[in-house]
Amino acid sequence: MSVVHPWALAAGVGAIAIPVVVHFLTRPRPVTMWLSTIQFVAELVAEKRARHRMRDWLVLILRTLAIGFAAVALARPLIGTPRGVSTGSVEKPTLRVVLVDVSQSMAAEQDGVKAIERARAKAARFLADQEGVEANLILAAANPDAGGGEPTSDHSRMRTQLARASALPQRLDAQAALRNAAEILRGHGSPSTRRECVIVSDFQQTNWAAVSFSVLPSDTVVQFESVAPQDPPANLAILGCVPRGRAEAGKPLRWEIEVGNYSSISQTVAAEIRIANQRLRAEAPCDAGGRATLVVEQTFESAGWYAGEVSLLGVADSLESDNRRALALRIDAAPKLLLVTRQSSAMRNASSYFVERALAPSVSNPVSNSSSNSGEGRNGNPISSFLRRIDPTRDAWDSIADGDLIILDHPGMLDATQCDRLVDRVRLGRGLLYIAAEPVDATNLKLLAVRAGRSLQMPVEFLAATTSQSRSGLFLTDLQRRVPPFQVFGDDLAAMVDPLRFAGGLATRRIEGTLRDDILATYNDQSAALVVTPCGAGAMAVLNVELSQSNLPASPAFVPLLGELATTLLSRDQPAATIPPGETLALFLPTPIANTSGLRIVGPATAVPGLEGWGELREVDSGVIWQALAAGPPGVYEVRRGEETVFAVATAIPPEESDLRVMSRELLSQPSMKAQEVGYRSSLEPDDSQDSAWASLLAVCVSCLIVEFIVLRTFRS
Amino acid sequence: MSSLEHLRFTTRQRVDGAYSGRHLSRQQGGSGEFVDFREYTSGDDLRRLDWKVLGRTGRRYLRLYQDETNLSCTLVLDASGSMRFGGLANRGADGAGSKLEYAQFLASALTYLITQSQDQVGLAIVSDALRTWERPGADPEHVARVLDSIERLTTRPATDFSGGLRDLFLRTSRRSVMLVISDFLFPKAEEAFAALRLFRQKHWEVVLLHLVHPHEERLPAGNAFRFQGLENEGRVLCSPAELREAYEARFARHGDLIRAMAMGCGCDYRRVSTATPYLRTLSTFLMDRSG
Repeated sequence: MSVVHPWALAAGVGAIAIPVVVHFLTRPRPVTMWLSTIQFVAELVAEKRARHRMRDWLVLILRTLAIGFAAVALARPLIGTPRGVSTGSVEKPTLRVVLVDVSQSMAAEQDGVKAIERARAKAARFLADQEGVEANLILAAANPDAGGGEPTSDHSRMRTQLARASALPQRLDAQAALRNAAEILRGHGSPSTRRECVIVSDFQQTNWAAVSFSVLPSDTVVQFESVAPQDPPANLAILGCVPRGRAEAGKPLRWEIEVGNYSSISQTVAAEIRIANQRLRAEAPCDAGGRATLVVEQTFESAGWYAGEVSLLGVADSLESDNRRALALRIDAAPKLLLVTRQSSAMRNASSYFVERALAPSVSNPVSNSSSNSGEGRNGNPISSFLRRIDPTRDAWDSIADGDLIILDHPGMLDATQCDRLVDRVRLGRGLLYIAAEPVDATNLKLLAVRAGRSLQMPVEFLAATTSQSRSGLFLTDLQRRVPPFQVFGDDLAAMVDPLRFAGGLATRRIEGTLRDDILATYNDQSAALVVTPCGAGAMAVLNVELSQSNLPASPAFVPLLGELATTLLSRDQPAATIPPGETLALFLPTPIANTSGLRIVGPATAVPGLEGWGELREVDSGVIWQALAAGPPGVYEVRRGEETVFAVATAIPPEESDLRVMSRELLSQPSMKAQEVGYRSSLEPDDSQDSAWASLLAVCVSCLIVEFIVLRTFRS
Repeated sequence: MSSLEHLRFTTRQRVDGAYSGRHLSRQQGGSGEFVDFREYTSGDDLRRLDWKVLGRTGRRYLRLYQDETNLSCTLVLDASGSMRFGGLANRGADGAGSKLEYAQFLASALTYLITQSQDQVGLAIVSDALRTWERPGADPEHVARVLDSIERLTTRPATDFSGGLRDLFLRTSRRSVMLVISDFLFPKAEEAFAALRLFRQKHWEVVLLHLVHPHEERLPAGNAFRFQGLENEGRVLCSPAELREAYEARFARHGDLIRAMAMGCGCDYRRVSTATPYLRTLSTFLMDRSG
């Protein structure tokens, strides 16, 4: 056992004499008086002498004990075996890395104190000047930074850096932070150096549950310093706000606001979207610990970029910054559809006829041979289309550049040039729907896959069906009901799909190493019925069926199915809804932007750009890319040419930062850590568990004084 | 004193006096008031024989008369050290208001009143022994000597009251009235009362005036006192607050003990507080005795 203040013990020894001194100093001056009845007094005094003597001894002992305990408490004895990292003197050279979590969750307030403030105080103890300790500081968020440079024994610079640290609107990349710490611990010191890693964080489950501590050197002593309150503070948060479907001018757009209720009370949450000079409000009940999706609809009058904000109404919780979220949205004009087919528009029972009628149903009398049809969608068809037929044998192939969605239905044999043009369009964000019905389509698809190279990883290879393979009477057996286009049917999917019988199409063979999830539907002969595969900024879908031989066009599922599929392919070009702040940014700008001439990036008015501004716009082969080492703080960032916004994106706090539930001590300390020693201290525990005896000693001291008072009362005559 | 001149120190008992006086004598002399006849028995004084009755009836009867004589009173003053106690005002001892002073005033007044009634007064001062002994007398020189002795009365730190009384008992021959003025704070009060019992056995009338100072009845207020004994008992340091109740009970028990022993001896007991003016005390005392 050692003590923090040895001088207090010496002072305590001297202080033991205080009761005696106090006794003499406070002793009343006796009045001398002659008394005739002194015999009576002497008898009584003799009677009470033993009682008074016992009282005096008790009082003296209790006072002495009280002084002694107070002195020992003042000396602050360190009792027990220290575990983890100690802030006391070190026995051998020590290399210490202090990792402080500065992610968004550290801004959570409890009793008016932010977690980051508690973290600063805790971390400062480990950065106090200690002989023999070289330390480094890592402020960990999305992009953990060992801003302290090399480990040094002069900790003043790190303390200054720590004092300036504040919670950043970023998620925590705990694994990257540990890797940084491991590099520092491995790269410095000698084999005999004691290695310590102090982690000061709120230890959110969402950040720390999957972290592996094995990256740290095996002899590292890990000290967990938790600043999380005992009970997770109540928090409501907007986890996301995304438009559903294609955002198109003049058509209702459905916003889905996802709200998380990280509290123990179910409540009704209300949110408001402010965008395009409109205020849209929605509310819905949200269970405790659950999530709710609030839905509002909005119609934009014109195409273009819009910036706005969604916020929770009437909420005062522990983490205020996740109660609002920036929005950036591109409203498109009505899409242009190109139907590439050799079939005549006059053919009523042709596959292309059904496709045309499904995607542009208002055209009553389509004009064959490069005629153009246009009209508004109806019967739930989400596409308000401008559909144009192209006959590859007669029309100029260059015209496909105008199409937002290219539909190939019985296109005949395509050459390499045509395939290259198609692949280029898809890479730039256009959609391609290939209705594979003829054996030649297998050749075309193979050629497309070859020309696309690694950018198109089809999950299956399409093969011409052999004569032994009967492709009729097929039905769907395996559907991905939770993704478009089948998602739109909901619980009615089985009723819609069961009557369907398919014929024609191509045989398929699974390609190993590709994503099985890209196969959205499978026939009963295990051949793929519908495949959707990303390719660059766009996507290609293959519907493996001969529509004219199937009952699908006659089914009520046909129009919504094809419409959803077209919407999915058209929506691939939509920019990301939000990007997380602080993380490396690499975004392709939309296709029409081919060069950086006159482009500039404009950030939120309240945000201050770093040394590198908001990033860099660079021209690459496939267009213009926006790169930044770290995305800016939450807000809307616009790329403008002149005063015209050509691109916009919003940065928002990742949803995992809003879930303030923390890892338990056991879960945190038990992972398969190779560290020989692990220490954990919660925010409720004293800074040094060894240094906790002083409180008990003070309590004993006070108890002695109380007992003394009781003794004096009891022995009072 | 003039207000007390009409009062007399009397006794209900028959007394032996040397001279004629106003008190009933134990002797049935021949010159007093006739009270009865009694048959003559051998040895009776023939001078009291009623010769006329003998002449008429031939029977021998004696005429009985009640003789009256003067009173002989012996004042016994306690001159032990405890009598110096005078309360808080004098840090405990001597000065105005002490028990000794009160006893002096009381004794002087009694001397005056008794001698005014043509009775005899004697004085015995007892401390560690019988220090002063003035036989009862009534002549002015004697009275002056007694008063002078009372005035020059000094205390001694040691006390042997019983020894003094026994010495006094040996020196007295004729029964009388003994008036003891004391605080009765003796180490061994039983022995003092044993000595008093000797007087009672010789049919002395013993009157005890128990002097009590009000500051003796309860301890003074204060945190710490160093009490010093008046009869070489040493010093006691204590906190009166811690002893107050026990002390008062002890003192009351002492008073009850003295009274009980006085009654047991057949003595007349009177508790006298020095807070009461001695003339009032004397007035009450004399009126009570005169019935």
